[in-house]
Amino acid sequence: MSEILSAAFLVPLLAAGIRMSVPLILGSVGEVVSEKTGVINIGLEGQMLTAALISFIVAYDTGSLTLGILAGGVSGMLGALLIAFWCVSRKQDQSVVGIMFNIFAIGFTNFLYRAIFGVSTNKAKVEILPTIELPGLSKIPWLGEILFRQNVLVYLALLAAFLALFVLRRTKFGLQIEATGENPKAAQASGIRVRRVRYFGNLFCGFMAGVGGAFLSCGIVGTFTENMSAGRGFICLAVTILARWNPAFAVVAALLFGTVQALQLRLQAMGSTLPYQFFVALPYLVTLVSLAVFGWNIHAPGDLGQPYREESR
Amino acid sequence: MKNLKKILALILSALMLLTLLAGCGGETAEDASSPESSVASGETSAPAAEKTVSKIAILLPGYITDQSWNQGAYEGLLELEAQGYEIAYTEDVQAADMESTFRSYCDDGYDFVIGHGVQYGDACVRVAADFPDVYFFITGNPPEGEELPGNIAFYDYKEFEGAYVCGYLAALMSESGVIGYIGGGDNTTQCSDKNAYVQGAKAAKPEVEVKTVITGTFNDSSVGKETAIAMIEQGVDVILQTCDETGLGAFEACNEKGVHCIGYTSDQSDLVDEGLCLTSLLVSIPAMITSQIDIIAAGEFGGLEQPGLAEGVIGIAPYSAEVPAEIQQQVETVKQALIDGTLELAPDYNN
Repeated sequence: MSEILSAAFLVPLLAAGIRMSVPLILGSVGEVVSEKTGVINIGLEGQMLTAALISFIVAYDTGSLTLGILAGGVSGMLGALLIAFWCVSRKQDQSVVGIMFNIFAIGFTNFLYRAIFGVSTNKAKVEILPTIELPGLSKIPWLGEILFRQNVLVYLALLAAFLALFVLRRTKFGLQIEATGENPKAAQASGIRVRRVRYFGNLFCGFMAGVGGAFLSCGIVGTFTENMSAGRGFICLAVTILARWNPAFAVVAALLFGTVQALQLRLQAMGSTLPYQFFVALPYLVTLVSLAVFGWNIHAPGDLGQPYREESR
Repeated sequence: MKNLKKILALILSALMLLTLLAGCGGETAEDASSPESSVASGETSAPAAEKTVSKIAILLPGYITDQSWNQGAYEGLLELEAQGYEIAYTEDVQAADMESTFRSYCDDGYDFVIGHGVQYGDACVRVAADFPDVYFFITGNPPEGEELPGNIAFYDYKEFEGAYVCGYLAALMSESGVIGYIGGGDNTTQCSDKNAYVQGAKAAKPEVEVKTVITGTFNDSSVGKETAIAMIEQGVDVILQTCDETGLGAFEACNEKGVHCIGYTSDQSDLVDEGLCLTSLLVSIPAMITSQIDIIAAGEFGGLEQPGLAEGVIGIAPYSAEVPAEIQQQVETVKQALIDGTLELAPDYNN
């Protein structure tokens, strides 16, 4: 037990927790904005997976990780565009469209990966994002190693969460987003273009999910493995609710999940008499329990999940 | 006008039905001709074979690009295709779909259907009785306490023998005295691997510490990487992984940190920097599958086989240059003892 409370255990644990929660932070901040406009983006998982592959292909072909990550973001956006078209313009059920997109993404990425790289024993790889040590800050004991020796996407994820919070809380556009999700008819009566705002929310979410997917392939593993998003997109949906549609809380909730995940791997390695299933389930268990504890009195955007029909009365 | 539309719709749907029927007709015609063609090819190449199969299908637990368990099966299948057999495969077949996938292959006229992994045993036993003319093959040990139909063969290869040798090597190579094992799940193959790895390590150096983690997933490479990093933080300096794509992430971590690792199913030394991959626990999956064809032809199909190091189904890949000759010698001695039977191992399926 005393081992766990030492800095030698805790510092790398928290650093790993941050690494593991970055895709969740990116995805759930995007989801918060999308749901604030009234559109649930269940296709997040599929967008993440597609982007993991596209970013890897582009990074591999051009040799530029920056281009790769951007391409990942754009591919996520294209996926979101497809979903927005069906859900916002054609007013279809958001869950059904999202689930179909996720299933499509698994098959599509497997197909595309094999079409390009074949089924060979020589795995194509790219150099992963380098760790950036922020001058000065990385020298702070403990905190420096946890926070300021990470790759660039870690900083960008936190920055994006802060920006999203600022826009939602402090700008006129943020108010328009809020109004669109709460009561689209009233919003339209006051001159807000509801469909345009919803398209924006969904595309932003797709971009963030895409960058999250790119983090997996270009930021951590350096290659694409099939179905590598492995359910992270769905965790983002839970994180969004747990965070009460607040980007800052989304960071906290994602960090909680990532850190517990990093913790369970370390506890298993330390040796224990408990069955391994307990450890594997631990992050999900903690998320469930915190939903039960902090989930009272939450208020979802009023028109969440409803297609908006201008002509209806 | 309205009537015209209705009539048009009727005609169109009738046409669609017709094309459907025509499609089915085409397939049956093909089916009827395929045995003929296989007989024809059989006459030219293998005249003596009485019992033959022509259409082979396989159910895979993962994807054919995992550089490991599933890819090995796919390669075996390709070999068979080159020999003129008709092949098919389905990837990522999970518990809920096992039985229906078996059935649909049988219904489609596949006469040799393979479940690639011990987890397919139960579903296969349920299906096999309904299709007595189809040969079934499970690459794992049979489910306990059930009566087994004669048209299923089980292949309980002793992968744990290889894991034992890997544990022995890992313990000798470790400078810190702490080694690691990363598994993907808790089926009998994985559990016996884990326990034999620990047993082998302790046999080489009783004081060695073995850290084991089961990730619960075979295709989450980033979790694999974080697992290996967590182990390396705790002093581990040799890692064996037996978890396919999750393991690819673990290899990435070993590469980054310059830690020794041991590969799984195929020689994985190309995945990391020169010398880092000490060896690989080889499972010659292609041979497992292709050899069954001859067994069927000889009329000896069915029952349980337990091949291991001695039969060459399990093997140890060439050592990396970083393994000193002296240690290579010691490990080879242990391997030979297992082959000769002077050292006997019993699988330990405890989790």
